Amino acid sequence: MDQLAVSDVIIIGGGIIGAASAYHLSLAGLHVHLIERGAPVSGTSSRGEGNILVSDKPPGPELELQKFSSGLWAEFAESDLEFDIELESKGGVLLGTADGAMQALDGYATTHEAAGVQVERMDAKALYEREPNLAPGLPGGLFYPGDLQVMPVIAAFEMLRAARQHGATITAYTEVLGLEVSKGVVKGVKTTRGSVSAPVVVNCSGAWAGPLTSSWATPLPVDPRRGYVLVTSALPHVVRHKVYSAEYMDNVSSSDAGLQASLVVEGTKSGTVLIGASRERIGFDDRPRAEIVQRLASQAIAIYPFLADVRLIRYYQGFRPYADGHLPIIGPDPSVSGLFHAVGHEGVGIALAPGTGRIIAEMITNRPLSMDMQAFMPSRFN
Amino acid sequence: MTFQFDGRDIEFRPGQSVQGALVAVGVLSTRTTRIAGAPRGMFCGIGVCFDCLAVIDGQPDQRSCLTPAEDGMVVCRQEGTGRDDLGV
Amino acid sequence: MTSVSEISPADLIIIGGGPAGMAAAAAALASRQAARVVLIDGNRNLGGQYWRQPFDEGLAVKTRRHHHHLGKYQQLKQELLQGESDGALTLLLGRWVWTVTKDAETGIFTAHTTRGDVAEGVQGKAVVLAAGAFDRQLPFPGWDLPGVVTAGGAQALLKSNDVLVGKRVAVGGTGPFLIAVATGLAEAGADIVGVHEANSYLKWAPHVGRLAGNPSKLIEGAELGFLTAKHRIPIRTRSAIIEARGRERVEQAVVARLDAGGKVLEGTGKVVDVDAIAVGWGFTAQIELALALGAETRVDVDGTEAVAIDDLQRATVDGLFAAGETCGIGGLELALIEGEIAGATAVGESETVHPLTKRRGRLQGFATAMHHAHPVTDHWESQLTADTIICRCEEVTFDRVSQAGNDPLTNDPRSTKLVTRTGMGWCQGRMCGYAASCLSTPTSSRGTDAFARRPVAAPVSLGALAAMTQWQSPADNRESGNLPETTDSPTD
Repeated sequence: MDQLAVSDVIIIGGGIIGAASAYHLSLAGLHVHLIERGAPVSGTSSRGEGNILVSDKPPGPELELQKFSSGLWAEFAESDLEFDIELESKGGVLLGTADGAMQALDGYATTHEAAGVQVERMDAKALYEREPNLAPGLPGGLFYPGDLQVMPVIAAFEMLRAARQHGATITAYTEVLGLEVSKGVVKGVKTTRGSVSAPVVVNCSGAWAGPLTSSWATPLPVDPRRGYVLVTSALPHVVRHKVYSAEYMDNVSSSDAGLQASLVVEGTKSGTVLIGASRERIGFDDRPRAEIVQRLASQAIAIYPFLADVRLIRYYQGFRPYADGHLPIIGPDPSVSGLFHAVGHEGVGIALAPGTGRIIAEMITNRPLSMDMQAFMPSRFN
Repeated sequence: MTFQFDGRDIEFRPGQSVQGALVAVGVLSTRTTRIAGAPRGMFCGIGVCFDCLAVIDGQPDQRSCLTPAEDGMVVCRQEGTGRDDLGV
Repeated sequence: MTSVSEISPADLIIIGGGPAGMAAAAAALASRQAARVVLIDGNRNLGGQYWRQPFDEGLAVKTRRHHHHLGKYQQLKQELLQGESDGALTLLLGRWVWTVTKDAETGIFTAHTTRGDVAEGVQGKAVVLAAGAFDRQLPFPGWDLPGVVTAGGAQALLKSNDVLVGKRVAVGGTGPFLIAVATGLAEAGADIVGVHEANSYLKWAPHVGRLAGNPSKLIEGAELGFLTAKHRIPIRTRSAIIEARGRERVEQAVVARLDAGGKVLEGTGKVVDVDAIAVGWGFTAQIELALALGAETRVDVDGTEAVAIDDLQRATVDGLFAAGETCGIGGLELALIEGEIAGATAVGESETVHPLTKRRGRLQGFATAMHHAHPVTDHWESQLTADTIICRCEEVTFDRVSQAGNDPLTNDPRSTKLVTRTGMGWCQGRMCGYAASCLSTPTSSRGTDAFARRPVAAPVSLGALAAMTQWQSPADNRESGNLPETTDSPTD
């Protein structure tokens, strides 16, 4: 690797958070050097469903960050891109799967409305008008017009491409081995191909933030949470929205270490249907488990009976970065000056990426923050 | 022994696959692709390319090279995903 | 026949009923170990591709003339049927294995099968993977026209259906297999307008010694030579089919000469009337089940990724063996020997050096020579035009793949795949994987099958998967009754 002139900012990690940070920092005029240990976008960012949801977030700081980020997603999709990132404002349907659930959903909708989120209550008739292929007998649900979907891999590459167009350097197949710190101030990083200097380092190492920071002044409690996504053969337009069961939200917010499986289904532009979602705390074990595939298939068919004779042609798995306390970790490191973190986005990394990237750029360039980020601060772990 | 292909009677020898019987009478295409509507049919002949898909007895996505021809079977050309009836 | 539910766990599961799998089963049955063996194959008959059979015995009589070494097939089949009636062997035919898992604690393997609407698991203490291979393809303009088929496909159609893919056929690609296909078609009555071999047979010159060490190959070669002469099949070396033309089906082939470096020579293109084209560029080993288990692979001399095995056919996962094309393309005899070694070793016959080791070595030497003599030629991609289809399933064109392949951000096979959808359709990159990885890798190293990893090795219906669970309603999802516990303690 060429010994570069000192960069303004080093970004560790080339997933969507790193990409979004590189993008916004480059737009702000800084020279960014992004260092990724494998191929770009080869980690968790390429293993999700492209969810950009307001509906899965109860009122609170994460919901606020999401609203901000959703707006930035729309802006990004309108910018000059090479490949179509398939951003769709399809909206989300949250199913009430048992009669008792409708009351809980009603309460949920009320809190969302109070927090400025658009939501529509649907009785059975309205539900089947929105999603005709659903299994009969469902009592209704909630419709969230603000839920979006994107093709995350293409989107991440487009952010990297745009960052590069604004002067960023992107180095792949190079692993960051550690920080170079002097008197509590970050000086750069050590990598498998030499040292790189910069006064600012942003840690965007995703699910691997735990191992990476374990020997740093403030280790971050981030653990992997494995998830599977099933992929069907291409179908015509059969599922109009993002569709999920209320249990999905319960599982997202749970800290239960056991396997959880709940239903998330959506169609894609190419016609495949993606089916999730499972969560397991098994470290980085990526050995296949057929039971998970079976269970996700079973849940999906219970809701969309036509799937019974549709074929599964592939599935993939990834590790969500689960941060203690269930909120992403975004902000300056409490011990090392010039070091910032943007990790721990669990299952909402794609959704929160542009917002995270922009906030990180605001923090680093000392501009007023677009929103109050206190809840996300790494200092909460000190 | 015959089966129907898009309304046409196709004679076959017991033991042939739907694909074998069709190629024997010069029918090389059993489907059209979902984006360009281009004709496809036999390619690998052994069930790994999935170009020979046809709707067989009402079931789409059947590999005609792996399906034994049966008397009275109804085989239809698969247009795209073969499931347009599901589209909403 | 013993039902699947009665045989858990077997001593040995053999995945694949072609020559290697059959030889493995026969060796396991012949051993002193009194093993209980299960053999699983997606086809309804034993034989794999090499001995691909019709669905009906009556037609099988007619297709015998298209086959080779059927005596060996009959012998092995007899041994297996005997084993089946003795209760030592269970034949699970017509079932495709979509994944294989291994229990972390007990070490027991489960082969997950699918057959139409039914999905089942078969358990065993050891696995011999003999999943074979399929023709390797390189795209060229018009290759997606009906009537353009793989060389192996043209042969399979004869062997299993007694049908000719066409009456005037051009054969192209590289490798002695093309001659075998062409002579088979000619014997069945087709007019072979030409065999277009991209390499020159002079590349065999350094390896003549290998031929001497493999007399059976010399005999085979002589037979093919005889048939080629008998049917006056024109064999053109340094020649390639560079385009298929036609409207609803192929009507013409454009053939051209290549220079020593593999580039198309300007002005040598000729248009030939055909009604079918058969192409093949060697073979790609089917290794996804070994990858699912975490076994190591190696890239063979021909650029195909194959399962890595030791002298006793052991893969790098305990209890997993591989034999035949799956662990390196090498033909019938080698597959039979590897199957025999694997089957015997897998059921506990312990030898430090198996008696067949030397013969295997000679056959491997021959295969290596063959691969060296028939590489995929450089510059094959120079015949591609912007709208040549690269990924047949998803209809991705060359210019789209180039867009990704030319960008330093996305110029690796995986990124190209995710961004263009190449390799993400029904066949999961089997047909386009080799070519796509060549086109998306900037270095001069020829592509390996970077698309080899397929978590779902055969499409399986969601309904069949769901039927395997007892979990029914969404409200039950908290109960992990049927599911293995995770090992983490819930203290967070």
